[in-house]
Amino acid sequence: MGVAKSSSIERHWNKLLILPTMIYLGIFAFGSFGLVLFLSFTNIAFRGEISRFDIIGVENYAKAIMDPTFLTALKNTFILAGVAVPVEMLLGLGIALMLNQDIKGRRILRSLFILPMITTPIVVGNMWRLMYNSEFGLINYVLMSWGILSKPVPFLGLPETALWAIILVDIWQWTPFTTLIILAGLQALPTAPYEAALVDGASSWQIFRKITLPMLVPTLLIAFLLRFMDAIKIFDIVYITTFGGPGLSTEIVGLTIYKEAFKKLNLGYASALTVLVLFIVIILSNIVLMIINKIMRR
Amino acid sequence: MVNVRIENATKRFGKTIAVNKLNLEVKDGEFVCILGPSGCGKTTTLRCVAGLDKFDEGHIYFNDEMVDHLSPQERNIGMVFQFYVVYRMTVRENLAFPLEIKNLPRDEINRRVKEIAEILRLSDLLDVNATKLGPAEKQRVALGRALIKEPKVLLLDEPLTNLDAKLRTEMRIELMRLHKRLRSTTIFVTHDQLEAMTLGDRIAVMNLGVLQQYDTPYNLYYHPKNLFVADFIGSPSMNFIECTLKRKNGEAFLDATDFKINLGDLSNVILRKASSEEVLMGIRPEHIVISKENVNDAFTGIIDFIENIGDKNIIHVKIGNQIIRVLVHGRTEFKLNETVYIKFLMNTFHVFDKKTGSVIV
Repeated sequence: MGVAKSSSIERHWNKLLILPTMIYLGIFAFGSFGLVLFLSFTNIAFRGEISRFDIIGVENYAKAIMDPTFLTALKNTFILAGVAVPVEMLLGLGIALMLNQDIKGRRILRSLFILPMITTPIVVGNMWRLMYNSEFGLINYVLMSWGILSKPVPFLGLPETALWAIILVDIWQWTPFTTLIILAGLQALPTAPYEAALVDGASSWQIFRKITLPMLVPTLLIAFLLRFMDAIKIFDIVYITTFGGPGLSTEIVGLTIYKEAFKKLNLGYASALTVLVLFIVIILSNIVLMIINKIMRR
Repeated sequence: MVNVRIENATKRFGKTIAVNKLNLEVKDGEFVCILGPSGCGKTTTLRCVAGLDKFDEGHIYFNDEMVDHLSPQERNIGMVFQFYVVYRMTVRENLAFPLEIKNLPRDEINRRVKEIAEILRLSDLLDVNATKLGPAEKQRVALGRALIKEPKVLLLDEPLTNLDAKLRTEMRIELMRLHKRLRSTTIFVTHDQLEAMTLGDRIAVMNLGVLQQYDTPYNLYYHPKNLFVADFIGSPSMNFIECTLKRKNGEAFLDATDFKINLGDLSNVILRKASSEEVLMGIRPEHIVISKENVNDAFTGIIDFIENIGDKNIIHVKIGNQIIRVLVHGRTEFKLNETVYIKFLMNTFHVFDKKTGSVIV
């Protein structure tokens, strides 16, 4: 009896303990998602009387998939995520392998490498905007003094270079993140397989290729997934540096949704765009998760 | 195959001396066990022979060639670790790994994988992912990987410790059979004296980084050089009785307060070698006869406790303030608090110098 009673108390106690989280998720995750989903089927706008709106079915979605701004934004977002994240992964792996060795000043180096990641995005954006400036920016100055450029280039002001300039900022800011995760993964690896491979006669490259990398794959995929989802959400850097310009050359989905909702005040349409982006992210991340599970089960 | 020689080797970790002036020679084709409690320096020694660690002083020779400066890759050794290391690949790929590194031709790799898999009974498991195997099979894969490149020296670091008792016995026999067949120079590290006694041609007993005795299992058991070896080898362990060395009419005897032991012929040797009168007498529980009837020269005692370990009983006999353990095979008729008579078998006891711990006879 005593045991049964205490376990039933425990069960209720457990529920009580997760209650705050459930309330939080209920309001801010499921609640707001439900609201956005509902609004996406309406023509609600921040104009005139907000309470007067009609349910218009999938009209917003139909408009979205034909909307050149949104489609360009999607394309730019995926170019950004598709270029920046793999580069961040490769750089992160390289730096993590370097920091994992017994080198002098390793601790200081580790702290320095994290700096970009812990800097406020607004500061990062403004800093790079100044560095990219064609009249007094550091980057133009260096490239010109090395003779690579003959005249200053307004990197953020040209449609051909603006997106790549932003990709570079993203790489600079988020490589420390992949580095940190991969470094943690490396340090959690057992040492015995390394030693066994050493005794088996393997060279450092063979050990990396055949032993370290296969053991590191789950960590790499998780780092990739986190970074990929984050890269699709990119907003602040673009907001500060180009605000989507010139033209639509750096328009990304976060910015499109922001402009629809808070500049053009089309709340219903912005909601539909949000739902679309959410589904794309869910589908893509599930594909990555499926790959992770497949590898883990092997 | 080679012989391995460790000369004057010392290894420190901070202030602790893990290995202290070790000298050890393993002959070509010999199976040597390094035996000792945890922290005695046995694994450190093995890792240094492998090249995974380096001695601070002293040298290691393979066939008179100094290998101190060689990396593990260059030493051509096979090693099996306590926690069976298999790579996240199939058994076939695991076994082939050391050969692929050497870029051997494909058909030779296949031939040798097939051969070693047969020896280790892994033929049916070749295409299974090695990480999915049970502990004993994993350990066989690790062993196969160590053996496949026909290493100069085979190093085994407690390879059986993490297996359960039944598998451990099976693998022990398998190892013995394998060694008979391949005759590779082998160093086997263990803390299990039974394992060392059954496997080793010779055993190096270590304690606190110092080599205590390096001898055959027979000699370790019958002629231990000091108290540590006498105590560590044998199960149940040896009885030690504090005695005073005394003399009467030119003959020496040991006074254990509650009983006396005549030394007879050994008197002269003991009197000459003992550094003081304080000595310890050691006798193994299996070298004591116990009976309910009194016989000549027997000591009278009372049964204090009976430990039943299956087909054997360890009977604790109390004589005065001393407890002496006696091993009896088969069923026992003895009961608690019964008065019994015990007698030491002739020439089976040892006398140790209490101060130095070394054996006198």
